[in-house]
Amino acid sequence: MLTEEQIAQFKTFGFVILKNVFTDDELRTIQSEFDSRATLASSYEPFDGTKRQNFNMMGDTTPFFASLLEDPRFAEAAVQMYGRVIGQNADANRYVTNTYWHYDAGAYEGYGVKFAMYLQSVRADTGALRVIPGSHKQPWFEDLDSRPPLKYAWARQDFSRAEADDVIDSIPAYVCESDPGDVVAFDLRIYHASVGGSSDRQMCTLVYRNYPQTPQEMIATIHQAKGYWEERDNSDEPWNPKRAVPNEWLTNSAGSQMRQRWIEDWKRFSEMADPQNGFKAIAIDGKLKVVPV
Amino acid sequence: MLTIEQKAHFDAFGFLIIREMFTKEEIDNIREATVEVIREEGGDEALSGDRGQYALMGFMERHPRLYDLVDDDRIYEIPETLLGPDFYLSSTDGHIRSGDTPWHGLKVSDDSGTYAERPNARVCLYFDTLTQENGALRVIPGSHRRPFSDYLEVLWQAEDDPDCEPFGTVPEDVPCVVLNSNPGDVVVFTETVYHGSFGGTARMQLTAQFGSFPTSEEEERDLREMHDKFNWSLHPAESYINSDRPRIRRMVSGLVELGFTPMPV
Repeated sequence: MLTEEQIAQFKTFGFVILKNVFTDDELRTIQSEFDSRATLASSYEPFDGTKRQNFNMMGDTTPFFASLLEDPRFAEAAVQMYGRVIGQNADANRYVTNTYWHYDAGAYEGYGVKFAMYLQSVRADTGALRVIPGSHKQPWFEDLDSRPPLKYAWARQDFSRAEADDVIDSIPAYVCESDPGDVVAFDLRIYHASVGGSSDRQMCTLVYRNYPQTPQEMIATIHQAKGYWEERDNSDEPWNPKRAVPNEWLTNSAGSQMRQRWIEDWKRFSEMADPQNGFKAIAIDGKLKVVPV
Repeated sequence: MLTIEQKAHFDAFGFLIIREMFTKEEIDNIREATVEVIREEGGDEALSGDRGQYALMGFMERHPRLYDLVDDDRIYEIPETLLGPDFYLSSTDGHIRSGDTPWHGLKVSDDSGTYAERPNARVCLYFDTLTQENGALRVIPGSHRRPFSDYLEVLWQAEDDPDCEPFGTVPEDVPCVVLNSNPGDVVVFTETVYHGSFGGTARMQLTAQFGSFPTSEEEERDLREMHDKFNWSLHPAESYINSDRPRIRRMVSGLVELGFTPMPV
């Protein structure tokens, strides 16, 4: 459970660093499961440090990490942050190079929390997450979204420029230093980036989405759910399921009520119509916006 | 002249650092003059930093080598760009600070009315290399804007309770950016962005505070109220009112026209 002060920090600044969340044994298990997925991925596409690889961690071969989405350390923390939430996914990444300034939420109204855990110590110049504190709040979020290099339309014109050290450093930010066992929890709307990561920066995440409370949030969730439930061509990542989550997770053989509720939420929202209640989701400059019909 | 990018940065984040604005020779000269003023007005005890904080208002006006600093193009063009050509000079001051300066910034619940929300710029010269370890200014970027600042008002609790930790962290660990600087750099920030400093030994700074004139009767009323509360800020120095430099006269003349009482410096 988070303290009142940690919740206040998260709501005010858009992030909070949780120290020593995992035991050493848990870290070893996480690393082992990460390595098994990395080995599988490399059997399809050898990892050479030049291209990021992403692994879904919700399958039967990663039981411990898959269980973390329902672990109270995270599931209950997410509820403390947002009230009712929907567990979305658990995944891992082998990052290479810098990460340009961006936010993770699709539309602003489709928010939630990402719990990020780095499997190695990270600092300002070795790939630690850096954030603009408070940038998840309106109207500042919208204002920042219009300014290069934070503006996605600017970044996608030349991603290599957007990832340059000087461009990322030009934005004042707080660096979330962390060590293995720590967890950095951040609002999906907060602007974040990283500089100086190695050619194999290993990071795992758990993501929860807000349960929609307004018509605008409903549209954002419907859009998210349709993508979540859709089967896609995974030929570029054959080690990952075709859906956002593997079938064995959806089967829910252990009968977890929490998981079942989430599955039903995603299914129900994926079957709803967009537009609805006077709002719709559209893409503007590569980003999703919820607008009046 | 500041660039468009620098102005955009200031508007978005509430601060700006201009690197190496002054040469070593220039900053040494300014430092020497600053020390002379402090020694004259506050004595060696003030210079030592043993008082914790020493502050003197109407500072630059007191020394011939500092008097024209606000009219130096490099300084003048900062408020001119950030606030518009019709800015005013509220005050100049010199400080010796030791130890912590608690977090402070826009306090909506304060009784400053619209005064706190008028665009302003505080231009600072520091004479030491300052880092996180020795008292560099820290700011919470963007906190000059509401509603972000509303959430940060809890930080003012430290005035009465230095041990309070509203965000579960000691004050120096509140998420912020540290404005590392070297002598010759100029740090500019709006008074309303949340700022503070921690862990420093005695360090000297020279500051000019600029503001923008009211645009409504309510804003003018609030400005007058603040003038009545302040002993120094918003009270133009007589030497500046009567300066032979047109730009210095201009930057205080508006306050004179409002009937604000001068200070005898």
